[in-house]
Amino acid sequence: MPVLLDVDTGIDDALALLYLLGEPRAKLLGITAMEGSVPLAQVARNTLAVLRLCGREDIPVALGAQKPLLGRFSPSGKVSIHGENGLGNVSIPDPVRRPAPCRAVELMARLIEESPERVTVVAVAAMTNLATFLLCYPHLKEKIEQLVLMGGAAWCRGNFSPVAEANIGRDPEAAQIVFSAGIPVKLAGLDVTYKAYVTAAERAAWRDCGTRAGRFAWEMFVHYAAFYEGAPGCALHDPLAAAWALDEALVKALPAHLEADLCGRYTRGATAVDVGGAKTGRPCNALVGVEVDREAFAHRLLAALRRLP
Amino acid sequence: MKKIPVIIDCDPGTDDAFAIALAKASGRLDIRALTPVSGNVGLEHTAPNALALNDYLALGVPVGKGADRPMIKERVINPATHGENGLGEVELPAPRCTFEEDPAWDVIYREAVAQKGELEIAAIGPLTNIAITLLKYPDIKPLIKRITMMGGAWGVGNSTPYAEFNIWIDPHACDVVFKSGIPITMVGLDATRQTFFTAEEMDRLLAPDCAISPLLRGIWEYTRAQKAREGRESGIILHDALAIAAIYCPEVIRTEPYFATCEVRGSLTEGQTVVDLPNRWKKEPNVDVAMSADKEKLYALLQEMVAFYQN
Repeated sequence: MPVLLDVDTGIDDALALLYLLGEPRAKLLGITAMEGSVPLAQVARNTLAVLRLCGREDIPVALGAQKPLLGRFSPSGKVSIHGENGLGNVSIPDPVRRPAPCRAVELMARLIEESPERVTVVAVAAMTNLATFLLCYPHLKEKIEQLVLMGGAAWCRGNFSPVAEANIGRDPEAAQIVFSAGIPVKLAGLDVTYKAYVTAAERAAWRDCGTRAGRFAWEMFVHYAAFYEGAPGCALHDPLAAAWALDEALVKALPAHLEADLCGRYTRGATAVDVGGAKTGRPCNALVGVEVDREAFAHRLLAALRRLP
Repeated sequence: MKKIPVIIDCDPGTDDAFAIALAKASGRLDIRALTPVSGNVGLEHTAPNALALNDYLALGVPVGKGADRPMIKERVINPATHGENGLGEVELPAPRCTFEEDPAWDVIYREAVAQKGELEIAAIGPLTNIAITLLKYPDIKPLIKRITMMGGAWGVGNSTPYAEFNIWIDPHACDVVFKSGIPITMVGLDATRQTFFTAEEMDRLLAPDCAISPLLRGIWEYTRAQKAREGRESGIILHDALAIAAIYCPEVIRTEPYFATCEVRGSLTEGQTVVDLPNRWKKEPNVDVAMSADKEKLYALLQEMVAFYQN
């Protein structure tokens, strides 16, 4: 399955990337990056460094947006779960190459145009790059197989505002452009990603699986896991989106009408979900994830880390 | 005098047709391209109309097709004012020229780079194409000398009590443009309403036969009939023509610098261009807002236009 990945790497972004690299059924065509928990230059560095660690310097990386479609990111001011360098303060060798000399949306367009098959896009950052792509290249929509998005919180509490999840909350207009594009959407929101956790024992198996990728993943999550103390494990938001792209059955999902709220005084950035379109009569444009086969997910992750260098 | 290189981003559109004809006739503008957008009518009309006008007015410029819908809002069009075909049911000869292969935003960027910072943009439709250009090419900002837009109102709107049509159609695009940092002249309803030409004035303007009389008279006759159907005072406001005139004849409007923002979240105020006239927010001005217009001056420029097409 040809896959494009949009990231703001990020610990769990890095793990999503490792998963896709170690998953033989996925053919990762390219990666686009945007500003997120760390500045864009650091996102680029991290992404290229992870690719180097895995010996996949053939995969192109292009840089995209540094701010949302309308205006600026509001700084959270909190200590980042991703650590100062975005990778849980784990140091891995710097990349030797630079990002591709084109814009993120141009790389997406080229790879989608060149792909003989329709492409799956996995987006685990704010949706700015993807929305800009859809605005600039509307004719390429039909060459996208599906959009698998980490974002949103349909019924559970948010992590950006009381009701909004960060990837949607940071750029709600971009999310709405993506949701309404007419392309099948799978939404891996906090409702399901909080259930996609891995235990300390499962993470220890990454460390002991005999690959440097596994060891690196374990090391990053030492930092990340500190934010989940008292929970049965730490949630793997972005990797779940990547895994769901490959395995339909991994996540139980409800067909629904999905919108990003743009106007609410308190609900801006929330994902409004109407299951089956029952209350609004509007068409279903998304599958909203609600349950995950956690053990199968953990198993697939470990298997992927084992296959990497 | 050196001509001003300008791209006309448009949604022709009856007043767009007058505006583009005026731009050509002025001799002061170096029209680099037309970039049609969905607006007054859908792109399926505005794009072919732009092509047809390119030939009819002998512009010979690239025509790069733009957005067929607003960034986020659902598409709404205005066929009552502009006719189903967008040109007041005037049928222009089928164009021989063809669209650029590149879309509007790529054409605009290409020209901006080629003109090395001298390019101006006349944006006389919804701002969707300009916003997409800014989103795809954030580095274009220092390359655009000024955007002169027909749109908005600091006073009373037309599509809603507060919103002017071009902005109301795509308020998000206006928000992107207002925040861009590019110098902007906003020619809104406050100014264009002062250039209402009566039926008598229009008849007098268009009385001399010229090469494009079928276009100009056809549009005026359509508008006259439409106003009669609606029981409104006979006459016309050529909003877009005022914006074009303001680029090469700045004295046709009087502007003041203000901080302006676009309401994208309101209900009754959606699409309102909120201009901080009392300077309550103490923000750096980002828009030169047209406060008034010189109707006699615009009329004189239009008379010169008719004379141009007589030769």
